[in-house]
Amino acid sequence: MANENPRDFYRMVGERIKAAREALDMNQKELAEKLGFKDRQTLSVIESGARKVSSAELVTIIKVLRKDLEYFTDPFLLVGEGVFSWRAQAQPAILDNFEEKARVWIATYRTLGTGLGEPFNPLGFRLKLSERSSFEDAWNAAEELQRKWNLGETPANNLLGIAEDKLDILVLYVDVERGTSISGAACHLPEFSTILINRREPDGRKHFDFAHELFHVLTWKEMPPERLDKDNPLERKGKRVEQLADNFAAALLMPRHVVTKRWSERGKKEIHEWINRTATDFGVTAKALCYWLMNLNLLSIKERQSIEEDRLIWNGRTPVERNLPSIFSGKFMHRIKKAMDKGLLSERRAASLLGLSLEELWKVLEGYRFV
Amino acid sequence: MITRGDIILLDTSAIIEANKLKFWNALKKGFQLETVRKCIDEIKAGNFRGGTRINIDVNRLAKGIVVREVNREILTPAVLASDGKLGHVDLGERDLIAYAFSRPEGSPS
Repeated sequence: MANENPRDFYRMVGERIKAAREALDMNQKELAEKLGFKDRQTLSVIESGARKVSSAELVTIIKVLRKDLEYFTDPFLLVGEGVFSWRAQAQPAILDNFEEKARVWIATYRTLGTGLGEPFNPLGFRLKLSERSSFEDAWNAAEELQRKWNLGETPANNLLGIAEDKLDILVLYVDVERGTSISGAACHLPEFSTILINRREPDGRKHFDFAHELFHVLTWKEMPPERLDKDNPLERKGKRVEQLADNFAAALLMPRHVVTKRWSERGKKEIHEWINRTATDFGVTAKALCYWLMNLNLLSIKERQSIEEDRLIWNGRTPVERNLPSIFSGKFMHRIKKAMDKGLLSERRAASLLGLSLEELWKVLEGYRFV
Repeated sequence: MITRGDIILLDTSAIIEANKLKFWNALKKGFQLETVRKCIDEIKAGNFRGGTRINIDVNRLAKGIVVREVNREILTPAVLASDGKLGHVDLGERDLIAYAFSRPEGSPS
């Protein structure tokens, strides 16, 4: 919850007291007794935000519920809200640690939006699909989106910008600790959704990850994804939602009619060379295109047998330091800078929320030409 | 009205600017300077303002200023009295405001 007035702030504090109490399996009566209240009703009105918690009460609550002051009062935290779906193969502790950071970025964006009077789009956008939908339904939905958004023959190039604009979602390019396998994530909040992309992934993977997460964002209510999608096709049999997401992503990035047309014009070109080059055009990996050709039944049995996976080499341009997408996004950093300019956020606080030094913060702002 | 010998509370930025513009010694001679632990930590972590890195000798600095510790009992009333707005400032500034708020002459604003 973002707070723009005292009532919102105390409602946030109350909700967090409730969340921390419930996390310890403590009922209202037990906590009320520890606070010296005569009945649980007083605690009930504090938890609903109808009555302000006093500082003495909060100090006791901090001790009893074993949380720090920030947990209850920091508007730049997401507590008890925000559901994530990760595309990763990382250890749970590493993922939890990274999620904590992501929660701060997302809460920051929301809290500053409220403070700046920039309302979130109250209208949602969803794909009319369910777990009972066929893969072809997912392909059709992707193609309808291509038409509606005029994504052209090779949608990868402008999909992200258009989706960010049309859906009012937040897209963040992030850095993941080296050696940690996190491709991306989607986070669902009532006000808006966020897609996180590891900016160091090859372009082909980034585009596919984005399209895959976009599916989750657009179907969250009907098909809430599991917290962890291991991004490993061999472990995903039976995970219908992830299979639908992959099919949607493939159809969105490689329009069927374009792939079919190009395939028919292939002539006598060597198949590996053709796949590698065409994947470059679509901004996907050669393997993704190969699987898509198989799904579309364009390959004959002989052609399927002739494909050697290790010759499908185009994995998307692997970014080097100089051509990495800038960290976070222009939309996100614009809000940070605007809040700093309006005195809603101090420079140091901004840096610490983003996990940057002051020097790095200014470099990022310069990179976006905001200073 | 501030008069010579009064207590002045300084945050991270004020300390950095006083050093950068070289009026730290004058300030030290004229007033009782106070700050909080978190501001000192922020200065230690590195200072970068307006594109210039400022290096400050924290040990030398600590000789001319009283450094106050801010605990949960000091912080909580100030954060609540601000209706959460103290969450928008950096931690040094937050602790300094909370410390000011805890002093007998402190008042919510």
